[in-house]
Amino acid sequence: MIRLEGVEKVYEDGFQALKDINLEFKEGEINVLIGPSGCGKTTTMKMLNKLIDFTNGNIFINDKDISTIDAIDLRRTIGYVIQHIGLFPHMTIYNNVAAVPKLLKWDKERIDKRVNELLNMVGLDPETYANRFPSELSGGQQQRIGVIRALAAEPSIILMDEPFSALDPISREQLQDELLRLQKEINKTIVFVTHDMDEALKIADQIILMKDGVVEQKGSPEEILRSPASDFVKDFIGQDRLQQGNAIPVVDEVMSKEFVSIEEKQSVTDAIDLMKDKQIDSLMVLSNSHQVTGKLSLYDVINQTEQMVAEVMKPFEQNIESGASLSAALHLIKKHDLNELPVVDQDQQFIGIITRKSLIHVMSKSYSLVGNEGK
Amino acid sequence: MKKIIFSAVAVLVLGFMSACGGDDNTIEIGTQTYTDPKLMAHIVEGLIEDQTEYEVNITKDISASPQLITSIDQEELDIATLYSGEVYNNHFDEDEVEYSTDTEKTLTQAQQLFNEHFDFKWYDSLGFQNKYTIAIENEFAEANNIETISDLEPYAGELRFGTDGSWLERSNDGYRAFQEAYGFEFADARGLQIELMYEGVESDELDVITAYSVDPQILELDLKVLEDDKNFFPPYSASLVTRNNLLEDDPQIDEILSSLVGTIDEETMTQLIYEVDINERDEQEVAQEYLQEQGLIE
Amino acid sequence: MEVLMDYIEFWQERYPSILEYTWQHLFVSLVSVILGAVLAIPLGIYLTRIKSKAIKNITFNVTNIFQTIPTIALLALMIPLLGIGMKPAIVALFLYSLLPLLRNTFAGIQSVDPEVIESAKGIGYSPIQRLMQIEIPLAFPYIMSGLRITTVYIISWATIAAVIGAGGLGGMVIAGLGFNDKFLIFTGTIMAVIMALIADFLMGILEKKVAYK
Repeated sequence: MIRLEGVEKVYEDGFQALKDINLEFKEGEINVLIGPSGCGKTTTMKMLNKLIDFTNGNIFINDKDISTIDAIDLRRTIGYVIQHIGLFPHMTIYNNVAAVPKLLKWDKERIDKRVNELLNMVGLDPETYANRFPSELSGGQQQRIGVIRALAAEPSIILMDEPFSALDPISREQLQDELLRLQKEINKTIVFVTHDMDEALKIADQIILMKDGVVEQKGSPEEILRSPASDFVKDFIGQDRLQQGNAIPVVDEVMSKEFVSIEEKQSVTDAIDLMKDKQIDSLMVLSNSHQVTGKLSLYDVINQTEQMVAEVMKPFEQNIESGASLSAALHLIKKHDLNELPVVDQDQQFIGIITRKSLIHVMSKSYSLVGNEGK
Repeated sequence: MKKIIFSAVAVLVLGFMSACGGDDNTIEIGTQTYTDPKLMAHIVEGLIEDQTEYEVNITKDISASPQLITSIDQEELDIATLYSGEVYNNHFDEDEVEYSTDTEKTLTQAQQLFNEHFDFKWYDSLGFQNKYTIAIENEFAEANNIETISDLEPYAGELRFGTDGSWLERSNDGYRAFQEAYGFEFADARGLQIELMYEGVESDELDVITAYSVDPQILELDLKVLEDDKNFFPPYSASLVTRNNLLEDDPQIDEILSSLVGTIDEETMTQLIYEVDINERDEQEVAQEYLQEQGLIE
Repeated sequence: MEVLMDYIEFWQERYPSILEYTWQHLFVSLVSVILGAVLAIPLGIYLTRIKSKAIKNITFNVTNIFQTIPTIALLALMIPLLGIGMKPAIVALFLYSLLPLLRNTFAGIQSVDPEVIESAKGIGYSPIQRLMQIEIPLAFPYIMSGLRITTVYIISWATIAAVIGAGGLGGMVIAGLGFNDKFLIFTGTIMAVIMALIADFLMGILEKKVAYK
């Protein structure tokens, strides 16, 4: 995890490039720094491996103040990929990828193994490519090498400075996809600088939008699309993307507020009666403070008539905050194989529930619309 | 030191002359890098300009005598001071020239052969020679009682030897032949510009040199010219040289050049060179002064 | 045909002294270039490391001035300081070698793509590792071609050093001029040409060997 606290950068000529930057890059996430040129995004990134020093504030990597770490040692533990690839033209692909392990004095066997592994990871056959020179590779292949060179010494952090901007659109898409695929395997903390909003929306877990050395807004792609913090952010994102953002429904639109509930302290018998009465096979369970805490289904109550509701119900383990995107909800549902997902407000107060039924209802509405248009 | 630069420049100048020479009213005189032919050039200049309508142009510091001969032959130059030993410098087939150290014989051969092959008029000697000699520091000579070149033999293995650019390689009268004649060689032998040869002695980088017999540095640096006891060095009698056709066109020139034969002995020439080389006076001024003293011009 | 026979005879007779002239020539040239390289290459690298424009300008201007002094004049200037013989010749030729070597080294290091340097820095090369493993290898083709051109020039210029007693093939030419021996002039000239061609050829091979694709 990387933390920036009140970081500022003032150049000798008095120009203040960064003002009071407070950021947190969570482990295993792709953090995208974006903004117009001169906004300070690259400066912010280059301070992390001490290519640029800062004037005020503190930067911590895994809770260690980087001002206490030797710059060269620090850089060897952080992967670095630059815009124009920056492969060493006089070294073979093997030696390029092996650069940092060699600096770290790994033994030959370990380096061989690692280089082969990495080349395979990006689909470049080691036998074919290891002894070639960078100029013998296509731009896309070169940038793959640039990426795996950054991964070679197994850093937990990787900095990427507009790594795909020089590539043609097709190679760029491929490499973005590949990066997302790789990230699932390697799970690094990635700090990624770009000026391309589409790229940011596609790959980011967190987007940090900067302007004139200040963070304008930070948040998940959905948050930024849904509620841009200022006109600048709106302009930067662009009308097209904002509409796209609005087309993605939020959980509030999908959740159902109408459901039959029963209190924890009631008996299972009461619950069975209620199900029979309402012709349904499950009930929401309310706590004393009228919070939904779980679910009681017909299967839970069979042969349990002596028990209280609290004893047989299935408590909810997941919930989602109001305002989150539907895709986030779907992600949770898929991940935990849920039938229902409670929606809570900022104070964790229950406000509604997403069920499979309510989902199908919303989906059928939007898709039947599209279908009608098709006809 | 300037002379070194000039000799390089002179090569360029020669090239120019072939392009723009041939002015009918100008007599072209060429000289080598040393001072006696330069003085002679100015003496001849003074007489010609005094007694005829001709203009005289002098090209100095031509680096080697064969270049002078070629230039006179090609009518780029008209007059030069040359030395009888020149006859042994590969101008003629071996069977035509008979190598000799006899003064008369050498001069006669030069006069005959250059007349036959080049149509040159090679005058009788001006009265001085400027030949190669072997010179050492007087102090060393006295200390070791050295009078002749042969006397050097016991010390030769430790002596550093300097000579001009060509002597090391000259066939009849060069270092190789010298070693055969005298039967010894020096510790270290190097060829360089003549001026530097004397500087080498002065700065104690050289012990033995091939001094030219009229060089005033012999006096100035307190050198001793050793007796050539094996009669090795050929004579280098100085003579004025020109083309026969020039004299046919204008007998006046022949009169002037002939008048100088036998008029300047070695002592006189050394004195004149001393004025230039040691007292750093202008060559033309010294020549002019000489002509006035002799009553040859007003 | 007769000339050829005579020339063969000339070689048979003179080869020990021809070889000695050649050796002197090679020695003076090589020592000058090696000394030049030892000073100019590190200096060229140093100049890429400093910010001060003034020092750069001064260094280039001074070496440039050496270059513009006519060979014969520079040799003459050396004599009062160093006497006659090989020493002043080597010093003069050494001064000549500085500019081309310095310029090529400087240009070579400057030519290294800043992105390559940035990435080397970013992944943790120390300044000295960067210089030795990245910048010098990448600048090597420039440095080598500087060395090659300089060597060829110096071999050619070394002929004039004979006037100050440094010997070498120029000595043969001057001697030949002095008493009209065309074989000597020809041999001195042709040996210097051959030496320059061989040096050019050998260094060309070396240059190709060290160059990356």
